[in-house]
Amino acid sequence: MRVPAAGEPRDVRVHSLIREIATLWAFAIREYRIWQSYRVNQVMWMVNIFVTTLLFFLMGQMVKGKAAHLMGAAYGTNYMSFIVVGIAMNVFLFTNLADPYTRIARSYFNGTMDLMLLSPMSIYTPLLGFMTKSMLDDYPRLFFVGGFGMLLFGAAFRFQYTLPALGFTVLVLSSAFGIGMISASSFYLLNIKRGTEPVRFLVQQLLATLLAGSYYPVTVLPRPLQWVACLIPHTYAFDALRRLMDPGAHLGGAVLPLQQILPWPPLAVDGAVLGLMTLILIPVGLLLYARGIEKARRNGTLTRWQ
Amino acid sequence: MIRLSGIGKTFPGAELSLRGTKLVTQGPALWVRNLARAVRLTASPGAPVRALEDVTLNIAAGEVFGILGPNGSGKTTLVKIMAGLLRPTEGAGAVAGVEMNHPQAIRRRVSYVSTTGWMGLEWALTAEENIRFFGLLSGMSGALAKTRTDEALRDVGLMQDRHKAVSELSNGMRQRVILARALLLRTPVVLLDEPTVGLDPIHRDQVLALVRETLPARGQTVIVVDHQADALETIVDRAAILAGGRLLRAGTPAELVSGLEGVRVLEMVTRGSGEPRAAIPPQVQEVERIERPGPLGLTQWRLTVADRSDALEAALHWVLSGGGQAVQVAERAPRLADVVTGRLRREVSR
Amino acid sequence: MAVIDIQGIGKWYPGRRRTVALEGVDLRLAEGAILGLLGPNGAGKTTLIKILSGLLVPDTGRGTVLGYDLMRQARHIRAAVSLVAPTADVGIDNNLTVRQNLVFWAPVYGLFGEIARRRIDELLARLGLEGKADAWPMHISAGQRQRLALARSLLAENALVFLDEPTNKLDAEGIRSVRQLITDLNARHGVTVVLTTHVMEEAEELCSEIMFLAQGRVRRHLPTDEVLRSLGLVRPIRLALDSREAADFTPPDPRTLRGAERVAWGPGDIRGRVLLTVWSRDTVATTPELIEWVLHQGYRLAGMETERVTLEDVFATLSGAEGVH
Ligand SMILES: Nc1ncnc2c1ncn2[C@@H]1O[C@H](COP(=O)(O)OP(=O)(O)OP(=O)(O)O)[C@@H](O)[C@H]1O
Ligand SMILES: Nc1ncnc2c1ncn2[C@@H]1O[C@H](COP(=O)(O)OP(=O)(O)OP(=O)(O)O)[C@@H](O)[C@H]1O
Ligand SMILES: [Mg+2]
Ligand SMILES: [Mg+2]
Repeated sequence: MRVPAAGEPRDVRVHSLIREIATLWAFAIREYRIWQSYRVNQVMWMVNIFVTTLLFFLMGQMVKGKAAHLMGAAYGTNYMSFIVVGIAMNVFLFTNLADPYTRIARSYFNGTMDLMLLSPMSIYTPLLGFMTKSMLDDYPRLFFVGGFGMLLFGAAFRFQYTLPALGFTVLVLSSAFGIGMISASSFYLLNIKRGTEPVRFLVQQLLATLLAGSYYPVTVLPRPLQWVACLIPHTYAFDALRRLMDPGAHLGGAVLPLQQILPWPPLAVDGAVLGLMTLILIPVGLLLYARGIEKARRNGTLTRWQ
Repeated sequence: MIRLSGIGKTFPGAELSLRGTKLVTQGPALWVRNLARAVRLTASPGAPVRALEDVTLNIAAGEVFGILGPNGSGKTTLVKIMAGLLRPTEGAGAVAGVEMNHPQAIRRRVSYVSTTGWMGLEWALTAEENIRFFGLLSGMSGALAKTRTDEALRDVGLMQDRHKAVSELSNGMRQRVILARALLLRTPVVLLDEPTVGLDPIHRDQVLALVRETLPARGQTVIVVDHQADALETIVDRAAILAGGRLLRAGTPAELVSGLEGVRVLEMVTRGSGEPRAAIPPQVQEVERIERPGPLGLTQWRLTVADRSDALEAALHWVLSGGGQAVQVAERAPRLADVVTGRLRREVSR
Repeated sequence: MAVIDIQGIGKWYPGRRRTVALEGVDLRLAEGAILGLLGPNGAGKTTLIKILSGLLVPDTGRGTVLGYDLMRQARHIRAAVSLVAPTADVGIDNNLTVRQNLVFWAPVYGLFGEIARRRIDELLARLGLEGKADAWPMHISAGQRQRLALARSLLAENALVFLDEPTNKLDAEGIRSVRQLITDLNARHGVTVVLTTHVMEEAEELCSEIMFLAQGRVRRHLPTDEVLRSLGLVRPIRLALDSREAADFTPPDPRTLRGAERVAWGPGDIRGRVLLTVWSRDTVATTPELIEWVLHQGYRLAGMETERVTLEDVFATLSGAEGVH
C-alpha cells in the first residue's frame, strides 16, 4: 500500500484536475450502471417519454386553433415547430434547474454526500457528477420530442443557423444550471431538507410554466407579466431558438419588451441577456453553494449521522 | 410461545430481478414488476441465497432466548420471520399462538427492534414525541401513552435527553430511542436484533438487565440477537447457534458449552516474546496468537489446554520459551464465546 | 511533528436546546499513535471526530490537523483523512453492487486501472466480502454492510484514519480481522488512528493512548497502561500452587514484587495445594515477577487468575465520579 507520511501534503494541485475529470467519469459510469441495471426503468423511461411527449403535443393540438394566430410574424408560420422548441427546451431547462436540489437532497439522505465532501474531490464535483444522469436520462428526450413533432405532427425546422442555435442552447443551459446551484444551496443555506424548495418553485414551477411561453408567445400576456417573463432565461432561449430554427421566422422584429426598448437586434438582446445571466448566476451559484456547506459545517447539519 | 419447524428461507435471485437485473420496488416499477411477472418476463433467476435451512425451535413463554452466529448466518432473517416481516420458503410455525400464514396477526403480537437502518424515526420530533406518538398511533389512550413513554424512557436511560430532536441525538441515544419505542406496547413477544450496538458500557448493562429482568417480569418472551457472546451468556435462559443458515445447537449456556468438558481456556498477554522455541506440549490442544506490534508491543495468546493440573505450567513454559514476559495470565473454564469462535466451534458443529 | 494539535476546542450546537457538546478540548497526537476516544453516549466523541476531520467547525479553539489549519484549511483536511461513520448506512450507494461501490470511489482517491482492481480485491478479501462482491447492499447482512463501509473508507490510503465504532455489528472473526487490519495499517504503514469504541477490551487491545471524555470535557488523556494505573485500584492475582507439603509454604515478600501491596494464602481443596493471593496496584508489573518467583521456588503453577484493572473500571469510575448518571 502507498501511504504518504503524515503531515506531508500530497501533491494536490498537479493531480487534482486529472482526478476531478476521472471522478466525473466515475460518476458517469455510475449513472450509466444504475440506468442500465434498472432495466425496467428503461422500459418505463420509454413509456414515460412517449406518454409525456404525446400529452404535450395533444395539448398543443388543442390550443392550436386559438394560439396559432397569436404567434406573430417573428416566429414563422408552423405552430407545431413553435411548441417543439418550447417542449424541448423545457426538458433541458427543467433538468438543469430542478435536478441539482433533488439529487443533493437524495444523496444527503443516503449519507453519501458527506463522504463525498470528505474526499479529495471538489465540493462542486458531485453537483456536476449527478448531472451526468441527465445526459443519459433527459437530454435524449430532445430527439424524441423533435422526432415526434416532425414525424407525427408536421413540425419542420431549418438548419442553416445550427451553430448559433447551439450557442444559445449552451448559454441557457449554463444560466439554468446557475439557478440550479442556487436552488441546491438552499438545501444547506436555508436548511430546507424536505418539501418545496422556493427557488425551484418560483423559477421553474411558477414563472417558467406560466410565463416563459412554451405554448404561446409572451405577447399574449399583459404587459407587466411580459416584464416578469423577462426575468428568467427561458424566455430568451425560446425567442432566439424559434427565430433561428422555425421555418419562416424572422431574425428581426422585436417581440420581448426588452427587445423593444434596446436599440439592438433582437438576437443580440437575447444573447447579451443570456450571457449576462450566465456570468452572474454561475458565480452566485458557486458561491452560495460553498456558503451553504460552510453554514452546515458550522451548525452541524452537514451530516445526518451522529 | 414460538414454535418453528423446518423453517427455510431462500432469497430468490429472481424475485427482485428481471433477466438478472435489478428492479426498483417502489411506485411504477413495482407495478411493472407485477405486470412483468404476469406476462412471464422473468427468465433467468439470479443466484438464489439460501439464508436459512431446516430450523426447528421451540421457545417457551417468558423465556429469554439468545441467537448467536457469524455475520450472514441468518439471524436477522430468522428474527424477521418470527416478526411476520418475511415469509419462510418452507416449514411451518406459530408465534404467540398465531400460525405463520397470518403475518398481520403476528405483527400485532410482537415488537421488533433492529438497529440497522434509520428505523422509521421522525427526525424533526423529539425522542419523547417519537415514542409517545407511536403509542397514540397504535391506539393507546393519551394518558397511557404518556406513562408508558416515561417508563420506557427511564428503562433505557433517556430521561435526560428526551426533549432532544432525533436529529440532535448521539448515536447511542438514537439506538435507545428505537429500543424504548419497542417497549411501549408490551406485546407478548419482543424481538431484539443487536440491541446493545452503540451503547456505552453503563447503558449496555442497563439494557441487559432490562432484558434479563424487567421484560420477563412483565410476562414478555424475549428473543435477542447479539454478537457479544459473553454478555448474552449472562442474560439468556437458552440460546441457539446459527452458522450458514443452519441451527448448530440450541440449549442453555451450560448445555451449549458441554462437549468442551475436559478443556480449560488459557488467556495470556506477553511482552517482547518471540516464536516459542520448545516443542508444543501435549497438554496444549489449540493455539491462537495475535500480534499487536504497535506502540504496546504485546502478544495475545489464547490456548485451549487439557483440564490437568500440570497444563498451565507446561503451557506457560512453552509460550515463554521464545523469550519475553507474561504480563497477564488467566485460566478459566470454557464459555459460550469460546463456542462461537475458533476451533471449539468447529468441534461443536461436528 | 504532531499529526493532530488542537487547543481549547469547544462546540455547542444550536437547536431546540443549546447543547454544549465539547468544551476546552486539547489534544496533541504524534504520528503513529492509536488514540482511543472513550466516554458515555453523548460525551462528544463523534463531535470531536467531525471537527478533526473538517466536517464541523468548532466554536472556540484552534489547531492543525496534518499540518493544515483547522479553521482555514478544512478543505485540505477533508481531502486527506479517512473516516468510518458509526453506522454503515452512511456512504453505501444502494444502487450499486458491493464491488461497484468500491469501483466508484477508486478514482476519487487517485486509484486507477489494475492498481485499483487489485486494491479492491485485496480489501474485499481481507474483510471477507469476496462472496458478496456482486450482491446489492440491500441484500447483505448488517455485519456485511459494516464491512463494506470499512472497505470503502480504507480504499483511500490516508495517513490519518478516524474510526467511529468500526467493529459494530461484526462477528468475532470480523472483529479480529478488523483489529488486525488496524494494527497492520498502524505498524506497517505508520497510519495514525483515532478510534472510538464502547468495547473497552478493544481500546485496551489496540490503543496506545486513551482519551476519556464525559459531558464534552476531557477527563483523562494518558498512555493506556498509565490510564489503568491512574485509578490507583488494587486488584488480586490469584494462584493455585502445588508443593509437596502445604506446611512448607513460604509466601513471597510483597516488597520484592513490583506493584504488590500484600499477600494472603491458605490451603487449597486438595492435598499439597496452596491458594496464594497477591494484591497489586499494577498487575502488569507484578505478574511477570510473580511467575518468576513461582518457577524459581519450584512450586507447580496449577491455576492462575488476575482480576486486573480494565478500562471498564476506568469507565465506571470516571463517568460515575463525574455524576454522569
Ligand atoms: N433481501 C435479501 N436478498 C438476498 N439475500 C439476502 C437478503 N437478506 C439477506 N440475505 C443474505 O442472507 C444471508 C443471511 O442474512 P442475515 O441478514 O439473516 O444474516 P445475519 O445473521 O443477521 O448477519 P449479521 O450478523 O451480519 O447481521 C446473508 O448471506 C445475506 O447476504
Ligand atoms: N446535530 C446536532 N444537533 C444538536 N445536538 C447534537 C447534534 N449532534 C450531537 N448533539 C449533541 O451533542 C452531544 C455529543 O454528541 P456526540 O454525537 O458527539 O456524542 P458521542 O460521544 O459520539 O456519543 P455516542 O457514544 O452515543 O456516539 C450530545 O448531547 C448530542 O445530543
Ligand atoms: Mg443481522
Ligand atoms: Mg458517536
